[in-house]
Amino acid sequence: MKFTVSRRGFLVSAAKAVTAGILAPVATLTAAQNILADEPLQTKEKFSLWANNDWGFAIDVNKCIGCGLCVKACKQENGVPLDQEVYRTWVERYLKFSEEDVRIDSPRGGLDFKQYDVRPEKQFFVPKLCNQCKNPPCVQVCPVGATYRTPDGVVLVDRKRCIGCRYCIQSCPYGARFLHPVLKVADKCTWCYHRISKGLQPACVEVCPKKARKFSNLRDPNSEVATIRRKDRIRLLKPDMGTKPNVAYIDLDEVVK
Amino acid sequence: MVYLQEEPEKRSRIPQSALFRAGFLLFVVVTIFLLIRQAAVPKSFGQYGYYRGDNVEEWVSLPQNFAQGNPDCTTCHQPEVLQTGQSAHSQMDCQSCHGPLLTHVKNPKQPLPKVIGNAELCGACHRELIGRARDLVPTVKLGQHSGGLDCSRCHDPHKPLPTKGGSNL
Repeated sequence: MKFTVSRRGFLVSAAKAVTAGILAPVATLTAAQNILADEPLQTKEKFSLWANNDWGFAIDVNKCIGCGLCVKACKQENGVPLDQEVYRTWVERYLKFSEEDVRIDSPRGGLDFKQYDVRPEKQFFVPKLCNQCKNPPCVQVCPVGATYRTPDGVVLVDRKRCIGCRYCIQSCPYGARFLHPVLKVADKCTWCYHRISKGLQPACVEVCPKKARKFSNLRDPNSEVATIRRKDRIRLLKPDMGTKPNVAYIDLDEVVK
Repeated sequence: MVYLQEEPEKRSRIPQSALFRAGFLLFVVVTIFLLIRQAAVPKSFGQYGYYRGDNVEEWVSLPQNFAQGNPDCTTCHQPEVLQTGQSAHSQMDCQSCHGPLLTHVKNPKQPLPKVIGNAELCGACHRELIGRARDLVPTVKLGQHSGGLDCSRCHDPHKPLPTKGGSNL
C-alpha cells in the first residue's frame, strides 16, 4: 500500500512536524530547568546585598598630593602584582604650560613621580580608576557574558568565565581594564567589592592620607558623596561617550579627558 | 494538455514515511542541542541577568588584606591612635604607613610588618615634587633636608610637629 499526499497536505504536515520537533524537547527541558525564561528581572529584590546599596565614588582633585599610597594599597588588597605595569587605579600628573601644551605622566602608575625643574602654569594630580559606568561598553562587547554591572553599581568580571579575549580592554574609553598577568583574565577596579559589601571602605579610600577619595552609599542622601554630587562643582570623565560614568571629580580642570 | 495535467500531480507525491523520518531527525537534533546547551551553560547563568549569578558571591567572599582601619587598631593601640588623631596626621589611617594589617588584627601575635621610617616611606608624601601643593603637605628636598638619614631619627610619625624644625628630640 502506498501513501501519497498532495502539496498542501505535505506543507501542513511538515509545519506540524517542525513545530512538534522543536516544542517537544523544549517543553520537556524547560520543565526541568527554566532555561528559556525571559521574565522581567527584579534583581534588586532577588539579592539582599543589592536591596539597600547604590554606591558612589568622588575624587577631590584639589586634595590629591600624588603620594601613590592608593596605587600600592589597591595592588596589595586585590592581588595585582606590584612589579607589573598594570593598575586598577593609578594617579596621573598634569603639567599645564598653556592650553595647547599639557604634559601628562604617570610613572609606575603614580608611585614614582620625578621632580622636574619646570614652572608650569598649572599643575595637579588626577587619580583614575574604573568609572563603573551605568552604560558600560565593556559589558556590551563581552562575547561570553563574563562581565556585568551589578544593580548596586559595580562592574565585575567573572574570572571563571572570562576567556581573555581582551575586547573589553579595548572598548573601555578610560583604559581602566587590563589583562591580569597571573590569572590571564580581564581585571579591573571593583571598588573593592569584597570590602564594600561588608560595610568597609575600598582600600584606596582607606589609605588616602588627604581623604581626596570619597566613597559612600548614595541611598543615604546625607552621605558624603551624595552631598558632593548635589552641591559641588563636579565633572565626569568623557560624558560625551554616553557611558554614564559614576566617578565624580570635584573641580577638575577641563584639560583632563 | 494531458501531459501538463498529470505531471504536477506526480511531483507532489511524497511518501508519508519520509515526513516521519524528517520530523524524528529534527526532534533528535533539537534535543541534542538543548542537552548540550544545558550542560554547557552554568546553572546560575541568567539568575539575575546575562551573567553567572554565583559570581557575585565569589567576589563578595574574596579575602581582604586591609583591616577596617583605625577602629580595629584602637582595640589594642589606643594611645597611638589617639595621639595620631590629634596630630597633623589625624586624617591618616594606620595602614597608610603600616601596610595591610588584617592578618595582624586576626592574630596579634604575628609580628607586625616592620615599618622603616625612612626617607622612602615619608618621602612618598613629604618630598618636594612638582604638582604637589605645599599648602596641602609640608615638603622638603630629601637630599638637602636629612642627607638620606631615616626620618624617624628626628620625627615621630605618631606626633608629627607641623612646623619647620619639627623635632621631638
